[in-house]
Amino acid sequence: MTNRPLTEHLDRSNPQDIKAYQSSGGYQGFKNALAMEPQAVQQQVSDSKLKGRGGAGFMTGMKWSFVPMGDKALNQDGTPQQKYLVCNADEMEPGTFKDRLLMEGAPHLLIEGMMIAAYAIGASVAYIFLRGEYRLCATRLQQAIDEATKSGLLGKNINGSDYSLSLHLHLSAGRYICGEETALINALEGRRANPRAKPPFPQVMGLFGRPTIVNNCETLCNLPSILNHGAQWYSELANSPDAGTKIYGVSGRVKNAGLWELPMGATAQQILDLANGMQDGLKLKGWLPGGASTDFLLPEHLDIPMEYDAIAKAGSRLGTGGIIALDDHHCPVGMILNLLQFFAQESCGWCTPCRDGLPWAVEILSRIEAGKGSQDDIDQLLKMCGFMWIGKTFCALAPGAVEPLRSGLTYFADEFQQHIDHKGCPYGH
Amino acid sequence: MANIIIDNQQYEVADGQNLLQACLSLKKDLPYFCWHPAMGSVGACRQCAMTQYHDENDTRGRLIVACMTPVTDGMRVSMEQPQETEFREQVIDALMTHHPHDCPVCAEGGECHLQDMTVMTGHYKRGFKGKKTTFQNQQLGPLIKHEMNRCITCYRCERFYKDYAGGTDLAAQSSRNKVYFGRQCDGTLESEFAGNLVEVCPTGVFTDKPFGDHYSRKWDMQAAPSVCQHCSTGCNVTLSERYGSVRRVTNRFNDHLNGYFLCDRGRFGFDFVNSEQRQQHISLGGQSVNWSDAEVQQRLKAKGTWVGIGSSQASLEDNFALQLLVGAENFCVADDPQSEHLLELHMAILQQWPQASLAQMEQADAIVIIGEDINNSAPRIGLAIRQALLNNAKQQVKNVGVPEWQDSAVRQVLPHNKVPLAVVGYQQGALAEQATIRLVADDKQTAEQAFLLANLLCEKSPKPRVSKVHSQIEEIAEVLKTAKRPLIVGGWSANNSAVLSAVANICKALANPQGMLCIAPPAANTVGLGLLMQAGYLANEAVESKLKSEECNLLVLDHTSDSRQQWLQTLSKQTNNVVCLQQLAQGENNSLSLPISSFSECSGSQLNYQGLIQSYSPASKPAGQCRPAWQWLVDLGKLQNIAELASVEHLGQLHLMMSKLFPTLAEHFTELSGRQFAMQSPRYSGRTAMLANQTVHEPKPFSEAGAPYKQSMEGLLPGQNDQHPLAYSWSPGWNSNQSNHKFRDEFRGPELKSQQGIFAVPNHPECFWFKWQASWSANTKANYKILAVEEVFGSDSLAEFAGAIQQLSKSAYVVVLPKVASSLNIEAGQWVTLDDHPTLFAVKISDHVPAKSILLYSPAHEAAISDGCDEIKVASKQKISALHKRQQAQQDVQSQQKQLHKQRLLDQDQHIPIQFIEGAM
Amino acid sequence: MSKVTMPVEQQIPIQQVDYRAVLSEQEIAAIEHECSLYEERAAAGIDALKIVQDHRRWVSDESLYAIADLLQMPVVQLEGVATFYNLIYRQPVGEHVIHLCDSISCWLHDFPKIAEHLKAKLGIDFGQTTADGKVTLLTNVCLGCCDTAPALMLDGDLVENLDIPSIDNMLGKLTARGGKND
Ligand SMILES: Cc1cc2nc3c(=O)[nH]c(=O)nc-3n(C[C@H](O)[C@H](O)[C@H](O)COP(=O)(O)O)c2cc1C
Ligand code: SF4
Ligand code: FES
Repeated sequence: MTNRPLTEHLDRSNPQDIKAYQSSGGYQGFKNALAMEPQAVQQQVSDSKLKGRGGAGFMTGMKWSFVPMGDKALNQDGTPQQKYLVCNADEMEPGTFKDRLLMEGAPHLLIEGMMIAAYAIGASVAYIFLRGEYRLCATRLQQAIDEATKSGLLGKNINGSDYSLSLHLHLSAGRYICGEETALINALEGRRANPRAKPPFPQVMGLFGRPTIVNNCETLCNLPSILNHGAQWYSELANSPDAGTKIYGVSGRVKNAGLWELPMGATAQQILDLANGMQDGLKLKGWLPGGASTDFLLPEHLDIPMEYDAIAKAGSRLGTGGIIALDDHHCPVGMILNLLQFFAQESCGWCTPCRDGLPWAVEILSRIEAGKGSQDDIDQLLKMCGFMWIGKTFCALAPGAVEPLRSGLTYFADEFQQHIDHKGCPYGH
Repeated sequence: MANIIIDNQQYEVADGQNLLQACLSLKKDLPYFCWHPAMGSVGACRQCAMTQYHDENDTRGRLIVACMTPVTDGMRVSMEQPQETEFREQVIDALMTHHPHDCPVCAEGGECHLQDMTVMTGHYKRGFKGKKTTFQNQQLGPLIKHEMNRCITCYRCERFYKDYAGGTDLAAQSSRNKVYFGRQCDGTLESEFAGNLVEVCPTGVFTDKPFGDHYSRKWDMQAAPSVCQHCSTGCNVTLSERYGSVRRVTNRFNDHLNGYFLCDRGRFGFDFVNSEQRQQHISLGGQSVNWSDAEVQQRLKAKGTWVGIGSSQASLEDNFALQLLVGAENFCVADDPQSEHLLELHMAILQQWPQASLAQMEQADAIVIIGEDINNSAPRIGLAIRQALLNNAKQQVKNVGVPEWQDSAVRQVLPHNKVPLAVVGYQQGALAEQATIRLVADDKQTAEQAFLLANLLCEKSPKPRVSKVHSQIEEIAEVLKTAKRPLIVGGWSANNSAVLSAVANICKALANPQGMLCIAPPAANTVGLGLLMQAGYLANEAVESKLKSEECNLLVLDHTSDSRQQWLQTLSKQTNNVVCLQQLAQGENNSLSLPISSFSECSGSQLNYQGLIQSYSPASKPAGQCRPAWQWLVDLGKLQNIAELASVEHLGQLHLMMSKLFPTLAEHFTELSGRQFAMQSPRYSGRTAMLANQTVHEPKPFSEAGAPYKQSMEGLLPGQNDQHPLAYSWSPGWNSNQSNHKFRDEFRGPELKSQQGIFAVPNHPECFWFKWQASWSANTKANYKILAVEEVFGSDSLAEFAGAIQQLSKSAYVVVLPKVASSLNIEAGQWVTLDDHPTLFAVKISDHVPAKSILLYSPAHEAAISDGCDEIKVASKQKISALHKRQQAQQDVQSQQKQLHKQRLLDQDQHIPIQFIEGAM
Repeated sequence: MSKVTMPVEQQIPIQQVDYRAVLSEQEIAAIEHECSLYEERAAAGIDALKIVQDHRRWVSDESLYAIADLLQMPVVQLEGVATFYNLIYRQPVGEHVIHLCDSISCWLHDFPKIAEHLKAKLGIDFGQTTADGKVTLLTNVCLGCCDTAPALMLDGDLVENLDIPSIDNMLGKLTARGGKND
């Protein structure tokens, strides 16, 4: 049995070939699922302790359990309610490229995962919400969908059962907020991707007002092996409180940026080692553990296990597990400015703190970076961190954006001060 | 009820509402922007932040937005702790990063919700040092001015326009801090509710354009509570006046009727009172004359019978005075036998069936509209019905534990949770397009099928001659049987009394105590005339013969419709003494006409479609020799020695007399008398300054004899008495119309509340079936039956005297079936003529036209057309170019008039006649 | 028969467009296919905009009205969608569109230098199109090429591991090979 359930099927040359996938055990997980009651599939996933890989780390089995099933899922006229499964493959978080790897290399793995999830919640239509820039993913996924349909794995009465599923690929037109699951649902409905208020949760009222599950691509890719090898096997893959494996990555000025599948709880040091460390002449100054919307950590945190609770304890979030390494030749203020520019641009414009707060923070940071900042500006930035914090905004975009800013203000306070005192960027930016 | 703790103090509040509503109900000053009581919560602006605590040991709590938080028993929250107050101040600071701070030149200044909230949060210093965004504004037509830079992105405009009112041409565009609210390109806003944007927008993005042309600050105007004159709904409005001209109409909150919104006909139609065509002097054959002139006196004292023609556009008081003067047996209530018959029937139905208020209609769970284009005949009712369409979706969200005020959730499930809406008839328009069941039928079929519907519901209900039931009617019957709160809507549009009978029969057949009925009569006081009719009247058909057989004089109360003018022309051939009481110089020639006050210049009462009595009061003093019609009539009474009338000195006496005859009115009139209401706000600055260039004496504010209102700062202020209309909306700290919340004990819940107020038409609980009418007035042998349709702008003859409405009125058109169009080889947009009628009609093509019929719209002031036509022909080039020339000329005149009008009003402001104000000399 | 139109004053810019007169059969078929995948027609709005953009490089007002007509939705609502998303062009673009990633991993890999070079080579700023109409230069948020930064997207395809020579090479080919549609 493999210990790399996500990447074992990775095949860069001919990934959409369904035969190859099947011959290495592909679609067995789905067949196992189909032989079970949907609720039993849910139970198995719950037992595996799989947590969502989209960033928030919510228990996948638990999320599914809110979907009305059986008698509770009937329309007024007694017909079964329409339900949907959506794969969140929007992956626009800077520093994150794991889903791309999976979709380019193992499209059938995702499709199988979606089939399992859809079956478990009783959805008959599923969508992959793919970011528009991932053209290769789109081609491969579409080919894989077509092949799966041809071989009777998708469509009506799959494998002679009374379960039917149609799966469609939707290409987004580009907007980071589409990754937020309720905004994604609006985008799928052809609307402006503003997030929706919760409650009602999508599990009850989602796409077109129907019960809907949105799961991250990587989350779904874990399902075939869970159904194939069992919940216990899966949870024991990791030597940490969190189950399974995770695709970790690192980018920035390292020698060998890339992605690796490691058991949950690997340390950042291990990952950095796989990347052969920093480029020559550069030292690690700080790092974001899981994409642009996580708090900075310092070199001293490198040995903390990269799992949800441990990273949280260190003051950051595991996020997507895509490490961004800041070296000592790049200005932290510049980096934070770049990050905040991203978020300000991608704000959907729905709620006040995010829509007007982020551009404001950018305005201040730009001034500081240009050597025109003052002490007041630092105070104002600190205030802005509180202003856009959790509970104050409508969705998690702005609080996410604040994370690198507020930790940066603490960890790189000296650099900020230098910009002000010397009226310019000490890194010459 | 729920017990909640706010800042360590316990309160009891209604549950089911959100925390923001609860706080406002407790009269607390909690700032907000995106929430609106009629539109629910979306949680976008984050202005209403509070802190919620787990229990008494929890000292940190968690920030929440109140508008999205349901009130629960035992909840602990704070509103005044630094964490939330600081955040609320920051929200303003952030919102202001774009706002141009242009209050001094902004039309919203002084009644701006953003100003109020800014002060309320304590924000006073700008934190943002960067550049502001500049947006491009759009030309949105004659009613609304657009100034996008002032936008604070609360999304209210879009939510009102698109979601609440169903408009399709305004929406949010772009994203991040560049969100833009407007149309796709420049152009007139299409929705007939666009004017509400002025009040819905918390700042000055959408402002009242005609008002802006002749602008005054809120605190420089005096305001009067009034009632709209442009349809039978009786929406409550506020008139604001300065220097003797009425500047604008705004919504006057009434929970049961118009709520927070008006239609544009009401909001902008009032301007007829400022029209150049207002008659200001007594005139004879078009020449100014004096009351004491021999010929005038002779006319007024003429011997013989005086026949009085009442008016559904005039007040109850005016009509009553006329009835007194001429005697009930000589008082005629309608221009033609058909509308007289409709009125009789309408009153009979009204006595049996109380009619639903708008608030009640909003609670319907099934709606059947029969033969009425309610959207165009009573637009505000159409808007209420639109809200009822949400009820199933609201129920659906409640089923999963989400409160129904959470608007976006409701809208998510709306597409597959539609409230059944059935439309039977030929009327077009937005509601018909929403119909889930639609039966296209001409007026006769409509009535027949409606009778059959009643019969399907109860066998005892009379049957028409035909027996073929359309499948849609069967569907409707099923829907009605299962509905808890069905609403049946009918009206006068089809000019067909059988429709009215059918609607009443359906109600009786339904026998659902929660069932609702609404029949829309054509004019603001149609029902008032119906009430007076109970004391006796002269049948329309008898008028002509009476004129022929006796020596008669005609006394005509003001009505601006063309049918009235035409009828008068016919009648005036039979008599040589016609005396008209009119506000707008219209018609002819040989008559003596006495100039009367408009509704903005005197007190008066009217009965809306429900028979609800409502009174309006003057905002300004009439110009020239204008007086309320009843005063002229009293003077006539003196000349003619009609003792009862001659003794009347003020309105109160007239009210007493009316109350004796119609005891239902007594309570309303008693309540009205003796109270004083302030019509100038505490900040009114015009009082001593306005005439300072002419006199240093402070003039005495004018007052109307017997009127309950005082044009001063003294008297009841808004909110001091919730029984009574506010002259203007204001409360400390709240200068915008959002101050209304200060006077509400709680916000309207889902339950059906009975309407406050007095219904003048007494209810007789026993009710009977109405018979099928065999006599058919609109039978035609022509090739095409003509079915008249209405337009919000263009069909109300009164509003046509308002410049802004005139600009929006469509020219005449016909709607034909596609197969008719192709057989005649005509296309949409082409001009055609009907038989030898001189008017050119633009062609529209629609599937929803009854067979063998065409739909026809012709503007209120164009000659009416007969029941049928034989030939539709493409208009000749000459005719078209003549039309274009005429239209061009008309437009030139219109724009010229608009300029002159503006100039005249501005001049009037400069040269305000000093005697205008009593006591100034 | 001569058709008589409304007088100028009453004529409104573009108001109603018949989609059949504007969109090709191919486009219509592709959009109709998308419509069949969702519960509501309007849900296919974004796909429809992208389909039309694939055929015409950008979404003109006329196209916008045509799509709205085809989807039976208000045009302003479609405009709200079109202007919300980054990859819908509501203004004409050149034959080739370059989206240079400006997010963090690329920034750490000399984004400023690369950007300056591209701008200088093309003689335009971000958001502009070269005078010959060949190339439009735009930025893009993180392209998911963080391990192969810096990166850009050229006509929808990712180009990774950029440096000055590879950019020169790419631009050279663009100008040599001419437009995609020639
Ligand atoms: C601003 C924002 C962007 C997000 N982007 C993504 C994304 O690109 N991909 C993703 O899977 N989840 C994203 N998420 C998280 C999703 O909202 C959601 O939690 C996730 O798709 C759930 O899947 P999971 O339970 O499998 O983790 C984003 C959240 C926010 C607030
Ligand atoms: S925080 Fe607010 S403005 Fe920002 S993306 Fe979320 S909802 Fe939109
Ligand atoms: S009023 Fe509560 S968030 Fe806007």
